[in-house]
Amino acid sequence: MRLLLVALALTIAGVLGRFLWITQMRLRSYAGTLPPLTSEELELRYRLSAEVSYLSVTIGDRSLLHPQSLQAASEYLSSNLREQGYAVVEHPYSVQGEPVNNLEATLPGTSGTLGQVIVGAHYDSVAGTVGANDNCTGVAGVLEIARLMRQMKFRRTVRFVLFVNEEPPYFQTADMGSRVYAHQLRQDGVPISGMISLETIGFYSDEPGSQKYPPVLNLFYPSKGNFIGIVGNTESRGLVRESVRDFRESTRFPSEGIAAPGDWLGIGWSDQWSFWQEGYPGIMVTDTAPFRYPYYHTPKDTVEKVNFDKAARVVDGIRKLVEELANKP
Amino acid sequence: MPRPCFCGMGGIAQHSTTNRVAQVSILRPGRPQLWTSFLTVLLLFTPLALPAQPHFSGAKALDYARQFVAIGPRWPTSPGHLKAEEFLRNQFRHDQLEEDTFTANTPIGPVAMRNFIVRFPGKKDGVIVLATHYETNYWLRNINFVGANDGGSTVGLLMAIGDQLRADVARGKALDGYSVWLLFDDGEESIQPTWTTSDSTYGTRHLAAKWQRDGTLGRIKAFILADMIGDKDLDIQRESRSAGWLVDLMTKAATKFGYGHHFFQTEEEVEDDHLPFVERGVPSIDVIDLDYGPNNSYHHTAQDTMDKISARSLTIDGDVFLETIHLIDAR
Repeated sequence: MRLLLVALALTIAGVLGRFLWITQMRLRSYAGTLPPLTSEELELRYRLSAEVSYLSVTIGDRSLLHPQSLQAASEYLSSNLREQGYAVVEHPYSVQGEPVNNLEATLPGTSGTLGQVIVGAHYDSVAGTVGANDNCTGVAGVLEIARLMRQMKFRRTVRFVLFVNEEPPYFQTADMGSRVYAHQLRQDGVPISGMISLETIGFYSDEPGSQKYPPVLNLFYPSKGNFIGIVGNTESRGLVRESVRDFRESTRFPSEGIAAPGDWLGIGWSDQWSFWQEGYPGIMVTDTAPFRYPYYHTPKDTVEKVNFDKAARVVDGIRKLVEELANKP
Repeated sequence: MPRPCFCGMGGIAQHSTTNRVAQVSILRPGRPQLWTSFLTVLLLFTPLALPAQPHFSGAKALDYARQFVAIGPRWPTSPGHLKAEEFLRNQFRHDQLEEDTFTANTPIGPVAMRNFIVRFPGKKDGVIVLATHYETNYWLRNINFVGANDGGSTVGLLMAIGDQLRADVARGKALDGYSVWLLFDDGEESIQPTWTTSDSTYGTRHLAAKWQRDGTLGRIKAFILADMIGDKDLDIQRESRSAGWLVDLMTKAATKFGYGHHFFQTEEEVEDDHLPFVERGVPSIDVIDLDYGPNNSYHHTAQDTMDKISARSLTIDGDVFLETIHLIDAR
């Protein structure tokens, strides 16, 4: 009986230890009052709002049900990056006879041999929705981080990539834009030190109970959906922990991190998944989408649901962690 | 551009002025040729006898307008709008420029908008605001509507006025009269094709409320709105809700230059960016030519292009605006 109890205690301790290993991050999440927006954050808020409005209102549904809209989005994003001074490379491929594009803008690093950093987001939407939060917010975040980093030099090359066809029915298939892109990187032997996927980053709530979780995880995380999540698979644990630490060091905004098995519910639900398939480390930065956002994958995912004040703080924080990663020796 | 208000529209024609009749009455029978010759000589030489006053450079204003309009459509949220903002920011980068950013609740959801306020300080306590909107219509986004007259011409006008104010400030550390603020406001146009009070004048509604809260409104001596007055065929209406004394001063200013026939020959009530200020008791005037092309047919169409506006009209506008400022200062 005693042995059984010891075994049970060891098992519980092991499971608890495992969960702590998965969920515990460096430093503490910011819990104070949010400071006033800085002038840079005010500008970010403005630009994010304009970009999300353009993509979700003016262009609208960006699925292959509306190939012209998907093309219009691709042209708008290319134009935006070109105006920032980037040479945009289109990576076209065909899905069921329909041409689609991934878009890439590169900021060359000062050291050509170091692993590169990828900052990406998908620009398509679920058919029948305009996807203001999922994922215009992520796309606008990539555009703005690219803009803010444009005049700076970093050790590592940074690629800003906008992916097509992340959403079903292409999700986690060979036709998923990021899957095609990551596979080509591996084929070309490009070293990647980290991929950061901006996925649905604009919805926040201070209501208790507003945050949901897959089973058990609610024991380790807050019930208010007011934080940004940094999510990776077990193999990307180092990247997750570094990113959470860098975010917390630089940004006064609540943040939580998790490095869990990639097949756990929700862990691989964005473009970082494609990079894992090629053996690259990758993380998703997200407001947790379906675990918080009541309008996820519905026609009600519209621009007025996006909290641009908070999205601006988050994007500025992501920029800082990207810059840390890009300057890592 | 605004919308003509059809409720209580005056439409008072004043083509035959009483002044003209009075002049004719002093001509005495039997000596018309002598009087005519005398008046002709007087008219020819009178300008030479007055102190030389250089005209405002309408050509410069037109050039600014041309550069601004070349950006293309600049409806809220569009890439062209961001370029238009950058253009304004760059133009006034060495001045006291404030960017007033806000989110407007529109029929298409929250839309980021931005007013630009450029301040030229004056020695007298008080402010004269010269305003124009700079964006184009969201609902005209698919017809390549560039708003050469509607937004573009008056942006060029205020930029060229800004050049003059900047030079005046540089000479004397401050303007001799009141401070002059240039306001380039956003979101004057409605988002939907149908203009409503809630879907229009987003920028000025926001700013008037803000300035009311912080007490700025009490310092404003006059709010002068310029709209659609680059039209080659300049025909500025008297807007019914504009302050009478401002209309009188501007009439006096126009008359001084011999531009009287371009101003206030007809009356019309117009819903425009001045109303948020009118409603808060700020003396305001809407200087607008809502008669653009045959039967106003260029208005809000792809026909609103640079070839329809002229340096001559902008010279008239600039001369009269600057003279009106002087008259307000002297009041």
